[in-house]
Amino acid sequence: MATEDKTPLREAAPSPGRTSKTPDRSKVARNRIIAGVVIAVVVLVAIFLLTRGAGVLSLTNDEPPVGAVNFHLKGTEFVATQLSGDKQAQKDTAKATADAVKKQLDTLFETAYVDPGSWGDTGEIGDLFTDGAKGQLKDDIATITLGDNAGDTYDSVDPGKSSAKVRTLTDKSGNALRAAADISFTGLAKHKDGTYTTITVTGTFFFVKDGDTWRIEGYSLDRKEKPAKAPVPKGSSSPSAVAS
Amino acid sequence: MTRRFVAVVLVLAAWLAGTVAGSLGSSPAAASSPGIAIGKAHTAEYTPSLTGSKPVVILAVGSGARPGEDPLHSLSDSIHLIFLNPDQHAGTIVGIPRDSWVDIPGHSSNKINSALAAGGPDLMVQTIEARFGVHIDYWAITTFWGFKSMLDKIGGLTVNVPFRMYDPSYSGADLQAGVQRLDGAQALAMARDRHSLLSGDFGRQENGGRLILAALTQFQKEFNGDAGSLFDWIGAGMTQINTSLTVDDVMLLAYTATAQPVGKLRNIVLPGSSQTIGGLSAVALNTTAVSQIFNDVTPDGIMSKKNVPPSPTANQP
Repeated sequence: MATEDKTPLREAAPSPGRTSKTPDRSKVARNRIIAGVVIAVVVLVAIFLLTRGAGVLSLTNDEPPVGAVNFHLKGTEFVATQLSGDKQAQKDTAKATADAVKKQLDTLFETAYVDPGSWGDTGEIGDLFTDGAKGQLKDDIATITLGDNAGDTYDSVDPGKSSAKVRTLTDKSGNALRAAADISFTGLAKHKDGTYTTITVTGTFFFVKDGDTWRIEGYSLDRKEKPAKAPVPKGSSSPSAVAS
Repeated sequence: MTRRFVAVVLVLAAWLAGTVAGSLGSSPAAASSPGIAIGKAHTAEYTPSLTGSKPVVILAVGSGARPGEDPLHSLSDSIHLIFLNPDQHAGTIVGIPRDSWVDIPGHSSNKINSALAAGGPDLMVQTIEARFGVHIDYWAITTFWGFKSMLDKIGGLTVNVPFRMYDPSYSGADLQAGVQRLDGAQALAMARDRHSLLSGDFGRQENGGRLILAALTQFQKEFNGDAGSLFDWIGAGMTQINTSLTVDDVMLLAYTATAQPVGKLRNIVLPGSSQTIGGLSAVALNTTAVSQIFNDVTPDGIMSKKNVPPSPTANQP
């Protein structure tokens, strides 16, 4: 351990009148060094524990980080509306449509469920819907979004596994006419009281093309929420690991 | 001094440990939080739909074309006018006997089913509009094989067959009475059979209406279980139907149909009697009753109970 010979700071910057040390003084100095090291270690460990992953507590930021929603495309298919037609063109269209619809779904759930800054704010997601559907959003706020005043209840929602099967109505030339996405979204919600729930939203979104954008013109959705265990700390894994 | 440092370190460590342990060790069972009912399912449904008190009128025709023939220029086998009142979610299915003797614009009087053969859908529409004073918004025409294929694609149709139907020589119908799942061929046989019915074509037109209602019932049931199945129905229908409806129209009608109570749709057949007219076996419609029916149903698509004609199969054993 530390000895007089191994106190370079003191040797490097000796104070006037302290060049000659007594045995008692060096013991006190050694204890102070030990205490300092212990405090530093404890503080470092505490900081590590408090800020790891999504953070059990946050010392530096009141808002948890926003996780990215990433719908996995389970299936992509076209539904022909005419008997004859270019099958390959329709297949290609279905793939491109599914990719476009997936992006809309990612944006919708990230905004409506994951980003605390837009919870319960139908205005933030309005552009994803047709005018007709937009008018219905307020009534369906508890399903389309985390909920009105969700910030009073929830601390964060960590997105888990989410999937979508996208079907595209096509004409014989391979033009996309409509799309339907059967979806399953999962998120692990942390509540203000420290408890956790798993949120699941399942159902179907109907999309219509508006210029270059696919907008939601209809939906049929179920949202369920059930108690969940707190995420188990494992290395740097995030709580989303249990929200699947 | 040293003791104070040690004490401070211990207190700090205990506080941190307690805080961290307390956070990590939260009860796994979540409790309800104010304003949120945990475990309560929320649902949300919205589809665009038709609106307005003016009825939408669709002419649905089963073409009697055989393979190789033009379904749009053949004799029609079944003829139905479907009235839908969007605002009241009610309507009427009016079956028109195919042998009804009518004036065909630009042609001489003939059976109504010859209008399709003589001038295609446009003349068929024109003939019905002129005879009954109704405006038709859309027409949809299918064939025997299209009807069969359509129903097979959706996995068959659950139908309450109202009575025993046995017609091995013509339609091939061999159905027991009662609720059952019919495949495409069986449903087609039920739609075509007139020989085993006491009321002949009148009863056949009524059975056509029954099949439409059965399809609507099943469509709604499947939509409520899996909304995405709507595309299966649309795909099955549009590939087998010639229609004046655009995809947008079909989508809007399909969305509207999801919320159309089946019980608020009446299924009637225009009354008349079989006669020989112009040397042909034809149907002379009951002019008074037909006028009452169309005066009643045309403005709003809804038929008053007092004007509902007797069921042509009421006496079928």
